Amino acid sequence: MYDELLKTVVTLLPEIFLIAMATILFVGGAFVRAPRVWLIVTVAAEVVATYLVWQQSDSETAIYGPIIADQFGNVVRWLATTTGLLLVLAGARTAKGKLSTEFLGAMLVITAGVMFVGRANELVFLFLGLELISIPTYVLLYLGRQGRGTAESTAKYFFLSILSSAVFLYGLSFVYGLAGTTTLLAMDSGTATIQSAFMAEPSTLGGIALVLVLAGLGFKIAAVPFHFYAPDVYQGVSHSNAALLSIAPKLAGMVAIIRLVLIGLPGANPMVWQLLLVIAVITMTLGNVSALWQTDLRRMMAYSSIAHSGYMLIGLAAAAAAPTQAYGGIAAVLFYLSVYALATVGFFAALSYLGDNEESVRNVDDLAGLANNQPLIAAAIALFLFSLAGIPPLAGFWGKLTLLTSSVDVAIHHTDPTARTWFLVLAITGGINAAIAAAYYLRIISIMFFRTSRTPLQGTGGWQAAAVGVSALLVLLLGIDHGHIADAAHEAESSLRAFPEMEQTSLDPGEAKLPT
Amino acid sequence: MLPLMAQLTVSHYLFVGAVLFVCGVACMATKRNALGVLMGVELVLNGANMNFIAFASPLLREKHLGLDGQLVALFVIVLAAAEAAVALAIALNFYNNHSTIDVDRASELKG
Repeated sequence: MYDELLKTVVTLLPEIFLIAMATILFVGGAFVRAPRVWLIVTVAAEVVATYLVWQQSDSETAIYGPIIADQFGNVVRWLATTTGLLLVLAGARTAKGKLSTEFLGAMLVITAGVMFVGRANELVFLFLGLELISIPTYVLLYLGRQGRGTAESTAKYFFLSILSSAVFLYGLSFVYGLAGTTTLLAMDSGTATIQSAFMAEPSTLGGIALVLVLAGLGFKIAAVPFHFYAPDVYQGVSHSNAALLSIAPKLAGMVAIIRLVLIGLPGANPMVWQLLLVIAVITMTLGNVSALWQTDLRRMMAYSSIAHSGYMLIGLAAAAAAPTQAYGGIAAVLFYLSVYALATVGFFAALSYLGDNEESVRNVDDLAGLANNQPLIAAAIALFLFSLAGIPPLAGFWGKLTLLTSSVDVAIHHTDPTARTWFLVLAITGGINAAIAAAYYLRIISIMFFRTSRTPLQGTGGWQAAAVGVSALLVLLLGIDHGHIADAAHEAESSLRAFPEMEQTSLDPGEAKLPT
Repeated sequence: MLPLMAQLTVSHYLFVGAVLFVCGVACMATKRNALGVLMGVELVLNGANMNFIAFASPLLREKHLGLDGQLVALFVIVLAAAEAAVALAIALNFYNNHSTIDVDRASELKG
């Protein structure tokens, strides 16, 4: 018994370490006022956590009570610690302010929360992981900036987020009631799990539970119709907090949808792929079209983040339509998440570097002439935007390509002709949307390079510059070496399916028979 | 037999939970006071709690399910307390900036 407990503690070591460091920061900050030292401590903590995750990265799939240790969880932890480190660097201005340790501690807790969600095998654990992200986020939002706009966006985000959590919990209560257990998966087929309970005939209550769960998680990933808060909230918060909002909840929400809806509730409703497909089409189109006429930079990025959620929903719909086949839908979502997270955090870190206070870099026009006085930063911003737009040699292109390929694969191999048509439509809509998105990204780039400004922007802050540099390097690396990352993502996807109820059938697409 | 004397089943509790849920959502949608909205959230959370407890109860179901449901409810109660603490801080911050906690006055960010 103690053996198993020890194993659980060892597998949770990075998370426990992060929480312990956060506690030290929260308590220590009350006695020692040394923002610079605390910032270094936090960066070191994130680096150590990344190292600990790296040490555990080749572990076999195993279940320790509420925790599942598999390749999928490892990829999510990698992403969480890397983006956590970059977000701390990007938020260095807040971190040097009056409430520095509160900010830094909350960042560490959020990182740990994302890691928990990635490895949750229990409803309680999953829900608490999501809340471990939400509650520190509320605190962070109003630490970043003072003023009427911030107070307003914090209040808006708080009330909508808490409502979505409550709706999600209400959905979970029905899942629990139908399955009679809170465990998602088990290694042996004898144990009662949610997965085995939901493999049986679909029920009405199961459908209600599914809709409630998707509504709660849809808010976290800002999918239509739960997207409306995003532009207002992004506009009111600081650059680094906008980066946090567009990464942490999205990462956790996507991972929770994969773990809970796609893997945990496979038979809850055969309509789930139709639902995801329709949401994907509306989300990306609405996000991209609305972003076209935005003048506020953060508002534009909010609509762009909505559109990127739409792209990722393509992969989720493809995975939901073929629950027993590995067509790469989940792998594509993981790959795209890493591409999107790195480019977004880099872009906002660059804005944070340029804007001493958030008012000086507010509109798209404020970036005019940046290429003349800050050529390096302008080049980095161009790199991030090209990657987000999906220009060929960069990581964003490979991300979009894998997502669309997964949809086309389903369109070719599915046994149901209606599904084939729908997935073809989905892939085409995705392609058209990528073209629309290029328009507003390229507009920012052309303003930076081809227009001049009378008040040149002054860059300040070495930490933010470091964040920009590291993200630019990683975006380039992902573009050049996309094969390795894609392999890791595919391994993660197959690790999700290595359970008795979801035995992988034929991997050969030619022979694949899909459920109608 | 009087209808009130009929045996209680899980669905009676689910009905109460659903009523709490709907009341909470309606309260969040209509209240203008930030603290009123917060009370709506508590109602929704308690609606979910009611479901968990009813589903897990050994008195209402033949199969004994262990303590999972009750544990979830305990966690949610603690969570609601943590959220209330943050909510009060946010309401105070809102009051400092707007001199009111009427959430309808938050209408500056549009586009």
